[in-house]
Amino acid sequence: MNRAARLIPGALSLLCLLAGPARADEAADLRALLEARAPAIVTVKAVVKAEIRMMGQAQDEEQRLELQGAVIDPSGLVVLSSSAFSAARMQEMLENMGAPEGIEIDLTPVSLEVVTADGTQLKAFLAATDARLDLSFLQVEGLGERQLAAIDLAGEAPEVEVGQQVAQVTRLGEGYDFAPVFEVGRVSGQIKKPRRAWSADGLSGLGLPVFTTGGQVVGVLGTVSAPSSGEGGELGGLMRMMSGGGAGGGMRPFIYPARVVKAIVEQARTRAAELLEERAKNPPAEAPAPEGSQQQGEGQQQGGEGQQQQGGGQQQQQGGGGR
Amino acid sequence: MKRTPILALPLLLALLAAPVAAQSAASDALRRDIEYAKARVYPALVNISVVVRQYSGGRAVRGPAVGSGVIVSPAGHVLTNFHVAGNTTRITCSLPSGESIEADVLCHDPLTDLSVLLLRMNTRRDPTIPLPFAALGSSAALQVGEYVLAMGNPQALSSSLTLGVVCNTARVFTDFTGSSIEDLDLGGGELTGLFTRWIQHDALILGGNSGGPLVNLRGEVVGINELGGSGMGFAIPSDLAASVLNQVLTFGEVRRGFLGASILPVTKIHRDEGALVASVLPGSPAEQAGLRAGDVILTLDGRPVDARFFEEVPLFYQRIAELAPGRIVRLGIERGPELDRLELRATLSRMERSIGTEVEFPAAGLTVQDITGPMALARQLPSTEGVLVTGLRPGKPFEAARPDIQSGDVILGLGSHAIADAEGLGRALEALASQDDVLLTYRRGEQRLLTLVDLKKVDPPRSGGLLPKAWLGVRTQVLTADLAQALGLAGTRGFRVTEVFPGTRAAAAGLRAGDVITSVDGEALEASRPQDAQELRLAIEDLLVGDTAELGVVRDGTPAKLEVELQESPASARDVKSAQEERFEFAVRELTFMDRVERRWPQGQRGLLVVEATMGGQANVAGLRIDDLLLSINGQPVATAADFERIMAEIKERKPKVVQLFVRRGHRTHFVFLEPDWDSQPGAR
Repeated sequence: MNRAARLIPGALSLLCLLAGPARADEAADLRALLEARAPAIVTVKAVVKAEIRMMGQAQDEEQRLELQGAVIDPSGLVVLSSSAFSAARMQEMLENMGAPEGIEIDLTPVSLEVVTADGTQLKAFLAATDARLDLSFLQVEGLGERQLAAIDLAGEAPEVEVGQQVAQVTRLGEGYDFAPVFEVGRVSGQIKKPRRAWSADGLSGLGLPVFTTGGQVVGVLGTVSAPSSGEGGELGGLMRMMSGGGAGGGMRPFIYPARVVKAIVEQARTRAAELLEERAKNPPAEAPAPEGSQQQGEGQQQGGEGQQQQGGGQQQQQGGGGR
Repeated sequence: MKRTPILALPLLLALLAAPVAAQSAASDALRRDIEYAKARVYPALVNISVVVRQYSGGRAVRGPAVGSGVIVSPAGHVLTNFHVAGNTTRITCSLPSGESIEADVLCHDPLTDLSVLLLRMNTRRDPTIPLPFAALGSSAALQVGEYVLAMGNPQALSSSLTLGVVCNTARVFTDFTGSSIEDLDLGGGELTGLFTRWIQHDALILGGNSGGPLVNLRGEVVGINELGGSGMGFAIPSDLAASVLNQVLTFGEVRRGFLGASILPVTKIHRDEGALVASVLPGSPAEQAGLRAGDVILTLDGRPVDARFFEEVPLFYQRIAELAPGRIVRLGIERGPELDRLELRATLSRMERSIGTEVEFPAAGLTVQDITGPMALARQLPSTEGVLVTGLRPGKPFEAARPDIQSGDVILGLGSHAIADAEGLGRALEALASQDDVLLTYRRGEQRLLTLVDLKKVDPPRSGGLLPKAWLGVRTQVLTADLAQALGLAGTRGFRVTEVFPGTRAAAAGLRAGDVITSVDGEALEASRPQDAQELRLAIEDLLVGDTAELGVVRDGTPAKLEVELQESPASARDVKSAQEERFEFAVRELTFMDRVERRWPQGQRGLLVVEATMGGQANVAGLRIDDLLLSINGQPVATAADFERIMAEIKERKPKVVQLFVRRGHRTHFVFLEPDWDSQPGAR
């Protein structure tokens, strides 16, 4: 915008309409953003098991999903939206649609693979989930000495302002060889209740970082669940959903500022490191065995891991007290 | 079935003396006949409850199903439909006397939709009681208009009986245009009905009557009910059932000769005799004998062949089927516009099932079918070598292979093993278990494709649970302006405590329901409207676990300060220990703090929460439900996953006849009785 500033302020707006230097700068900025940040944006290939429980019976089914995540630590910590693993939203929607009482849904990731920018596929596990921000954290395994390109959410982040232009980097699907693309949007408003966040128009990368067009991290895109206004039966819920006021506005994206996410990232990083250590000590069973007894082994394995998990939790508490 | 209503009898009596007398005598006779027939068959009627396997999405899902059957020999042979007993993992027969006996399959015959079972006579509680059985009568002797009784379990209501008449003794099903016999599909391409001329009757039958007997007034089984609906019922004739039963008793299987020609009635070509050959299957004995479509078969082994109507078509197929495989038959045919007479000799082959058995390989995430001759023909495969892929389970080795494998592909080789059938595939998978990058050869249409499959078994990673947050341990409601006014606290903003969870630091600090929290660490709360509901929780979560929070509180109108140490949010379901029970197929987990709070159980409530009870598994079939709280097993209380594993291990050593689970379900308690089949494989699929 430098050259434009030298001209008469009144003509500024006119110039903005022409394909002038301002536009060229913006395009260059976005290109730079894409190039700089794309390496840390990864595709997560997940197989998620959906279990529907009703009247004491359960039916489950697995499905393959392609999700988008961002590497936030070179050791392989990846953040993504937990909506694919969290049945809460789905249940909310079902309840609003008047589903009979007592239907419960449970989503569990069964297998997770992170596809990095250069196409390498790495195994990962779900390390932690933050129920408040609806963000899940995966830890990549088997990196060895290798470090991944990462986006630092802990650094200094500029404040979010209404009207500001913001951008995200996401990737297209496997069919397009995961080509990175950017999305540009605007901060269209702010909410203070139920929590502070900024409404982002035009962005769709849930769980992914949000940047200024200049390339600085301002926060992460997420959803904010608002209490819906009332009861009413099937029709009421449907009417609320269709008039846009229902389902708690659950799917509208909001920007969580970086400082809010920072604390969670720290917790997740610690938890991921703990689990990584545990798994190094108890590697998952790979030994061949006839079908029947293999499953027996699985059950015992889970029992062992559970015990250690319990210990881990207590450590956390003591650590907290010290602080 | 119309019977003279009892109410109208006195009226009719007044008008018509003699005819009425005859009618009431007829009713009495009918009632006696029904009693007689019932006494001869009803005690041998069985309610068959099964666990049936359905293949879908690359897995076998099991579930309960119900049908009927009839005991036809003192040794305990039971006749029922294949669509009741086929693809099952467990069959239990219950008699009207209340006795319940498990049964095994002797032989399935999908081509007639019949199955022959054998009761496990040595497991009877009192073997000295003679087993009731029914006699098979002659279905050929049935007359249209004759009374028949249908016995069975409609809608799973056990042991019912309905009365009707025979509407048709030789029903076949043709397509909409009436120009060909319609193939009856039992599901997945399993064709049936080729030899069947159904007995159509109007004794009401509903779902659940399948496999049950159709009985004449002489108390003989004249049919096995197979189809029904809209007030009509269709039964497989007992003569056909008898021939199947005899073959099974003699050979242990059903052996049928196969020619490979399909025929049409000769009416359209203006003939009175013979059968028109509509199709000759490639590679079949008919083709090899030189038979051609268009030929008219006049004699079979010297005896005339007649197919004037569709009702006579199954009779032709039956004649061929009754001959043994390998037998040479002489076909007298007429060919061409010149009506040349020829005699052809065909060597019958063995008739095969239309589709092969479906098998699941759980670790590989694959369901496959053996390829039969008819399948190979239908799919234009060069041979019956290989197995047909019918489903792939997402995330498992075969579905994860790239280039991908699809349903409909035929697996030909795995690693160095050539795969001829499902059994061969099972052996190859076992031999190659835990190897990665195993080469798979498979066919898709005309293509021969290759891919790599990773057979290393990897346990699904145990996910980390929710991140712990600083937690107060209370439930609250926003103190709205109106509420504040009503409580005499006008102008006060904040949260009214509605519940203090027992055993928490908040409880220990003296926080009570009714207290109004107005500030946290000196910062006043602003909440006064419903949308402010999250404010308190967010304020607490901003603090750290272990911090001491100073709460500004208003109690009974008086402001006060309360110091509460913030504890960690309670462990979620994913964080506690769980235990899997393989044989009975259910899983439990330990209770969390919130489990007890949400269900309003005392904090001392012990037990394990049932989190899985696999459909069709022994626990599920016995009635165990998810969310039941398991209190004790065979009288021994359980509280931890370790307790559970220890007790179940003991039980598997001792092998008791019954395992008694005592559970809490809602506000009631309940007993679930597992009756293990110790002989079968654990978690038998």
